[in-house]
Amino acid sequence: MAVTKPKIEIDVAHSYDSLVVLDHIKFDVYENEFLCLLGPSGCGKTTMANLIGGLLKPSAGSVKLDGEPVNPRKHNISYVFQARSCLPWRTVKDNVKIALEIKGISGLIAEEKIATVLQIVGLKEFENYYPNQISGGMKQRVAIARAFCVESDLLILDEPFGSLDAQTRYVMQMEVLRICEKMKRTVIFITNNIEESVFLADRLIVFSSIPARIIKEIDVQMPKPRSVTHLEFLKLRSSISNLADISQEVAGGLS
Amino acid sequence: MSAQVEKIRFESFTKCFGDLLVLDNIDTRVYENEFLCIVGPTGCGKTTLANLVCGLLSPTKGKVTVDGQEVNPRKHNIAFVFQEFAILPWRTVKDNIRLGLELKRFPPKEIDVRVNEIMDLLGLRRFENSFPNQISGGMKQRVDIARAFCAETDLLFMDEPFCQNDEKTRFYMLNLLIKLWEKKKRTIIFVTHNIEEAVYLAERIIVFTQKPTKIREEITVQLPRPRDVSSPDFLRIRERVTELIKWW
Repeated sequence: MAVTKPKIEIDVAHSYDSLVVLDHIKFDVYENEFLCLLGPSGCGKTTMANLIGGLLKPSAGSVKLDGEPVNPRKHNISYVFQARSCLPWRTVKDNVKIALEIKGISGLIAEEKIATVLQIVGLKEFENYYPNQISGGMKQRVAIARAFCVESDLLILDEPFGSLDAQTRYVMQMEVLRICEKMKRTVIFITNNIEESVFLADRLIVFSSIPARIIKEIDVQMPKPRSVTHLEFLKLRSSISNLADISQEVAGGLS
Repeated sequence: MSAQVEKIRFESFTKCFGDLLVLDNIDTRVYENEFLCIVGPTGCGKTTLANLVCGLLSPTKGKVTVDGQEVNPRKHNIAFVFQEFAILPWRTVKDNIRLGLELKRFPPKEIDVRVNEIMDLLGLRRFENSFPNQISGGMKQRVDIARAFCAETDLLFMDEPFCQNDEKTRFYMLNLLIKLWEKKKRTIIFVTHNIEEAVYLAERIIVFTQKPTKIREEITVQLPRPRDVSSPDFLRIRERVTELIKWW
């Protein structure tokens, strides 16, 4: 983990009218770090992502990138949303290309970048397919390829694998680790899946249910790739699962 | 292990949609009161299997029998629990659970006895008069399960009922399910992607291949309950199933 000064400094609170969603959240993200934000569903993780990405202005506080207030016009932030975001009328290749078109990159340089990234995510053979001809996991890889093909200061992945089955999900997690290994990036990965967060994270921040507070910060020291059946892995997973606030009320009750 | 009385039998069970072979000659049996888990890759035809078992689709070849007779939804009692809740919003918790028995024309007194018993087992008694929009997702799931358990069923088919739950809620539900199964004795086919979940629940696991789906292997799980997900025996089975299912 980096010891230098943080890449991103987050110190925010956020409310929607009278609903307090984030209750004073403060943490830093370091360059080339893989940080997981873990929290129960509905705790405000997506709000957090939108604040960090500069899509939403915090009610109080600020998000700074390299010491300046985050600004999507200036900073390069890639964002992979929970919902799939392929344009149905564009091929796989042209879906990835959008990211470069928007940045005004074209010609040979663009072609090369796209070829490289499609190779890395394993979609080279499918570059001329349309979204309706490929599987859900592959669409998600298109979104990831798009996010990786431009140089970015920060990559935000908001529950990208939430709708995938356990095995496809595992394959995609391996994929993301492999891509990160190859193309160093600062990553904020948002999930409500404890196993996934322990599998991926260099560092892990656990949020409470709404209004979200940070209840725990964990440096995950195990070497990657990690084994989900390793004893140390299981121990960490269950210690997180036992944090009082992480689960929805289990014993039941009126919502 | 349950007594080995054969309850359900799949014989050369095959389903095609046009040229697409989905289920390819499935031959297996399910024993009375057995807890059977099926794991398989995405798109291996689990939903097709469910629709075939309940008679919504007919097989291209082969058959399923219950107690030696070809399956017939009018005669056999087959209950389903799916990922999405099947709850009527205008009925209270109690009346939602009663529904199954009302449709089977049970006498009202007996309905009361059965429904009360199952609500007690599932901790739903305090909420019997609540409406679905007043209870949490986990509670709704319990209503679904209560309804499935309160009638006598030849087969209870559960298709990934807990895959949306967070980890803690999921284990809570798994434990409830085991408790119910041990107490009420049912024949259960439980379909899941989650290998840990399958090893936690099953007496026997059937691993499906990718389409065209065949049975890859059957694994008997004889670990004592409650099972410890980090015990070496548990992990060995989990890793074995993972190995069998791997396509990457």
